[in-house]
Amino acid sequence: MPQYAVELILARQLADGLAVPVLLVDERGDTLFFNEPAELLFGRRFDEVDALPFETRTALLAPRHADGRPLAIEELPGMRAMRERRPAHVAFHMHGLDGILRPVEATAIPLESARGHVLGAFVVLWAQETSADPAPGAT
Amino acid sequence: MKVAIWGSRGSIASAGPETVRYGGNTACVSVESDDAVCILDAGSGLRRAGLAFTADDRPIHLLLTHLHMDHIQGLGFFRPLFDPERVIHIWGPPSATQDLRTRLTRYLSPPLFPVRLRDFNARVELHDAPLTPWAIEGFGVSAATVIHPGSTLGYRIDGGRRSIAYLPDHEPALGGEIRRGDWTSGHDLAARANVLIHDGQYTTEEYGHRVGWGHSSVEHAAALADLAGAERLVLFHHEPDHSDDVVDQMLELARSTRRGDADAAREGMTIEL
Repeated sequence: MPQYAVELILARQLADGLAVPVLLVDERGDTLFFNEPAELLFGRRFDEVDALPFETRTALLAPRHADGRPLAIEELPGMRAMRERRPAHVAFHMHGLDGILRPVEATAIPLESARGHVLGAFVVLWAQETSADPAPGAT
Repeated sequence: MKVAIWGSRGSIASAGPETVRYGGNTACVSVESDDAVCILDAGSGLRRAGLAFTADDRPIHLLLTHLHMDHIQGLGFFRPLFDPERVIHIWGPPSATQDLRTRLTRYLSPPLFPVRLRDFNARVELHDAPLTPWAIEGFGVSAATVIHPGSTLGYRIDGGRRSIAYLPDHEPALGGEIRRGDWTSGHDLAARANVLIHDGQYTTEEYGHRVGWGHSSVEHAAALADLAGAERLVLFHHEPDHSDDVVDQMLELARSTRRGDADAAREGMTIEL
């Protein structure tokens, strides 16, 4: 497999060291990496998802509107950020590890090289607490 | 293909009795074929390279990895640039905001230097190094961005069936563990190269104090060389505070660490490929 652009390598390393959930996608929106906090949110380990093709991954992560309709690929925050070449913020719903459909917000930043090529997007996610979430400290 | 080392030191020239064997001049390496001369970086070693190529009528291409002073300081002393009969091509890293001429002019203008870029008698052609491989007089040349502060390239030159990769300022370990080629900076440039000239500035202990400075420990250089399947690793960009004896020790470590050959660049060293 060819080497990824150095900007993506550094972005992955940054994401790996952060406590907030981060997803890194390539220029076609394919998942390159998500960190451990994002694993909790997605309910999947990155290593499980790593080898899957784009459509399968997207279906697995299954982002949805509040009414349950699937979020179109072009509506995903990373895809919007790359298409518009500016940060994009999207609120949606996603099934977590516990099976609960949980509201999530994501802000994506396009990763553009010094030569002006869009290489991918760095997506930071926040899970909104739901009434089904355990109280802090609960076991 | 003939490779010659004109400067192997990093950061700042460091002449003195303790650096006589490996040399004190900063980064400069020439790669010659019958048809062309490529010169990798324009550190203080470029002055002597210029003397050697003054009477040479082959086209000269200067390939700059980045514009830190230890990689461009020799430009003002490169004799072929003062020859009105010559065309000199200078290739360098791209910038999102300024062209190569503007960036080089910061150094090549008063008060930092009395001679301006436009004062050179040779015709100077400046180019942003392209993303895709290109040809220089029979050489195949590739450039790729690598991990180092500021816009920095590594180069690979292929001639016939032989190849040299040149990554003088490079910190692949900043991108994570050096164990997967697709996630390791510099891997594709170095892949199966006959010679890999690579940053080996620090000991392991020094690297621990200088993470993020853009340079490698000997172990990291050896790890990348092994991962990429490079035949011969040549440690480069020697720390200016390291004496010849320290470089000897680092070379021994590289030889005991890696699976392939290892050497340390020294001024006057030539490699025939």
